[in-house]
Amino acid sequence: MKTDMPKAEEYSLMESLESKNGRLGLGDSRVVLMTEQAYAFLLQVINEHAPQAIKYAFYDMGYRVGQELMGTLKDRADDPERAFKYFVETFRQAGYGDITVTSFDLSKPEARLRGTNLFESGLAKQSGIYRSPRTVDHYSRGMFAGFMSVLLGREVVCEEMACEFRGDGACEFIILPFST
Amino acid sequence: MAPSKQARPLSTSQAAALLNNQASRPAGQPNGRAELRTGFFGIDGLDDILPGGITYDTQIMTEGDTGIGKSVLAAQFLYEGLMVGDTCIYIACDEPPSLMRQNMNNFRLGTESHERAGKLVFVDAYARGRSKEEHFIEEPDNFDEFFLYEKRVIEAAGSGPVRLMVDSLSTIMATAETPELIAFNSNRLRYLRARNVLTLDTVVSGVLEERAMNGLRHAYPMIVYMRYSSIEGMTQRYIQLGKLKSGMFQATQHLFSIDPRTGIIVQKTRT
Repeated sequence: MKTDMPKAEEYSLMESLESKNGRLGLGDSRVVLMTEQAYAFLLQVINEHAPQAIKYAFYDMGYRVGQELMGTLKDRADDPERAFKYFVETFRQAGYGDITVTSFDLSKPEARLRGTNLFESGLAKQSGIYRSPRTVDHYSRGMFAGFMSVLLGREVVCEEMACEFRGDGACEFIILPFST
Repeated sequence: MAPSKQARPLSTSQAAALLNNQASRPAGQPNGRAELRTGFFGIDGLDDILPGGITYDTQIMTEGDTGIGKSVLAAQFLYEGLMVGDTCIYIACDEPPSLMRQNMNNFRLGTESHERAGKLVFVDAYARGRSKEEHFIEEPDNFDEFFLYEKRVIEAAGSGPVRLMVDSLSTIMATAETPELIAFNSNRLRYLRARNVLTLDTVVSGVLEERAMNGLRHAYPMIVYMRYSSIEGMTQRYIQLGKLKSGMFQATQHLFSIDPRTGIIVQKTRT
């Protein structure tokens, strides 16, 4: 696939931000700013109460966010590939990390992404909840899967095959339909 | 910041040291015990009992009643391996590999990506004959054939860290004579130890004679017992660790439950 991303001048998330009367708006949605430290606290607290749930809960949360984001972006793009590009650009501009699409094939269907500086792997050390280096970008892979599931009209799953926190050169993701 | 009560978090320096160690050293090399990579089950309450982890030259026998949750433990053990970058080999003896794939799907783990990457290998020892799976053992109760294939998939994994799961070993041993099965297993455990393969063998209670069970238990450096017990008229599951090689046996019975979405949840202990 040619990864001709929408250029920043064509689509700027920041231009849609508006702060008024104690409400920060992004288009029609209300948003709040959360620091990395606050997210690390969230991880720590969930780890204290339900450590077994972390990877599943954050994946599921990301999945729902991805689904919802697809709903807001579908009017912006006239085809699935372009919608996916908008999604990736939104992900980058929202500060989740620097992500690029390395392959995208709807006929298989399969998509691959490569990310650096992702927020989850970045704060994994400071959260102090992991026993050993591992893949940790559960929220991000959930988002990718949720978005693609709506885009394709079938359930897919996103696997993280490499992770910066684990010592790999970048975080790498593969999105595929569930299979048995 | 309040420290976690249940986890034993890595300090930044510990995490960095682990990262450096694991990036530079092939875990398959016999480097001496002090330098061996350590791993975890991937089950928080169980890993809390072993805060230092398990070295990769360890073979673990999981002995449990039918339906107790050994396959759930297996799925989580493999999931943990994939997250830390191991090559994970699952030898399915009691059920077709597709059921383990389904178990892993239930944990929102798509197996196909890992299988394509060669990081997750399913070996069908259930079909007993030709199989649609890429890897299969036609006569798994032929110990020579089983061991040969087991070694072949392990060697194909290369020099990186490997974790192996046989589910269940008792099935292929059910018709064998006790001296034969003990000799076979001793040989394979020696190989797995030398090759630093973190191994989890499951044995179903009641399938093998007690003499054979005693012989098997003696050969493993760690045993995980998974049992039912009746407490105040209620049937509950508990897990217990035995470390026979080091002369340690942890008598504490850790109650656990199984959540279909998150797997085994080890609860507060009772003694």
